[in-house]
Amino acid sequence: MLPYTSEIMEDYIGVLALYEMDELDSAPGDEGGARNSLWRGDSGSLKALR
Amino acid sequence: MNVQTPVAAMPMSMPADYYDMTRVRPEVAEAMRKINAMGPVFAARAKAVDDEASFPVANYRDLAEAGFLGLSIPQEFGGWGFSMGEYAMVGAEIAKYCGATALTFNMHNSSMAWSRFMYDMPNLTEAERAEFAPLRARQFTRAMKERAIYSQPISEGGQNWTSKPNQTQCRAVEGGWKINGFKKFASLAGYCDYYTIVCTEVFEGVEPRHEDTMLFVVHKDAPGLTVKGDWDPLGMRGTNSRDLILKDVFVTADDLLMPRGIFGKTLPNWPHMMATLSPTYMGVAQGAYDFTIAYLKGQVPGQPPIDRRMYATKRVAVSKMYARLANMRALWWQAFSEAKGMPSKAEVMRMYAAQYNVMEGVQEITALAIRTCGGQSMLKSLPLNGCTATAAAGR
Repeated sequence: MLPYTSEIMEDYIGVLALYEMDELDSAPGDEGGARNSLWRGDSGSLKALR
Repeated sequence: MNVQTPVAAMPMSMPADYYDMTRVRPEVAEAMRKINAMGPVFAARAKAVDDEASFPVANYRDLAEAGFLGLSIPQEFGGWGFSMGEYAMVGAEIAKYCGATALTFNMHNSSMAWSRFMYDMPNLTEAERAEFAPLRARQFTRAMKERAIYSQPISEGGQNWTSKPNQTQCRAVEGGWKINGFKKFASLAGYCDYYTIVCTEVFEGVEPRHEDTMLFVVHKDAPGLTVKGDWDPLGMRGTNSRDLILKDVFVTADDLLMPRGIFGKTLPNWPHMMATLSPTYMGVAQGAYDFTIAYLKGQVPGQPPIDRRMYATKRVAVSKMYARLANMRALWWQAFSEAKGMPSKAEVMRMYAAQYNVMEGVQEITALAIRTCGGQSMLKSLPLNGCTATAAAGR
């Protein structure tokens, strides 16, 4: 089941608060699917798509 | 700055993490930078001040040396001329490291701010302003040249001074007045140089009236002024807010902070002036959040470098803390950026909402910090304990 928007935001904020940008892809968590669209600045995997 | 030993600093948020710095004057950014440079030393001193329920004397020495006692004093008197909103930003930075220093600094700054901003109120007559000018010049000069620290005790222990005239009274005598009364929770008691005393002038056969409110500046060694009682509270232990007894304290017209009648004419029209405890609690909330992040990353000095970030429950709690903190900060910053005389109804409502949100939010954030950091947060050796007790003291 997909998480609710609030749960996705909780995951995004918690990860950004606790990890540096270059650590985001390796940050542990079971909400990885929900985190695919997380903003990653210039250091994330979405950079490859641009 | 009087730094004897290097201090292991915990990583802390910086102003650019929560303010749009393009909207901050360079002088204000520099003042906040200085506070964040001094902050780890303030934090290192905080435990001893808290244990002893003493006063952060050394922090005041550092603040005075760096010029912060003149933060709100107009530039023509040698001060920095910061606005009320700019003062609030600096106060919140101090509170990240030591709530007691921030709260008592607010008392000093308030006395300076009253002299500064009330003088500029548009509803004063030219005659009132001319009478006011030498009085405020005297106080500004003391703060700048003597590095005098001011306290501003108002509370009288259960007496609501906004609905009833102050119970501390002054009565005219030859050459001046004699003040008699009592002030409760007189922060900086025994440590400041001057007390700004709010009292009511009484006349034979006339009931005490709000319009007869007078403000006198009383030197700490004035005959008849005594500091009484013990100070052993739960939180804000470094404010040393003991009782002040005034028994036939003689003052003259030169000791007035502002001329007769100005207080009642101006203060109700400058309501942000009465919301100046909130910078302290905004900073305490930020400090509790910063500690939680450092703790979960294993970056608290003296603690084992254990990474606790993988726990989903802790991550959710951190997200709730940040969401609340960001919300508090945004409203509070807007409200203080609007601080001025004669604000609109909407601006006053935003200020009330900001004060409410900060004072409630700091309780929520420190409670979440305790839940997230667990048993470690109970240790007096760690700053979260001080943040929590300080937040509780703000209730």
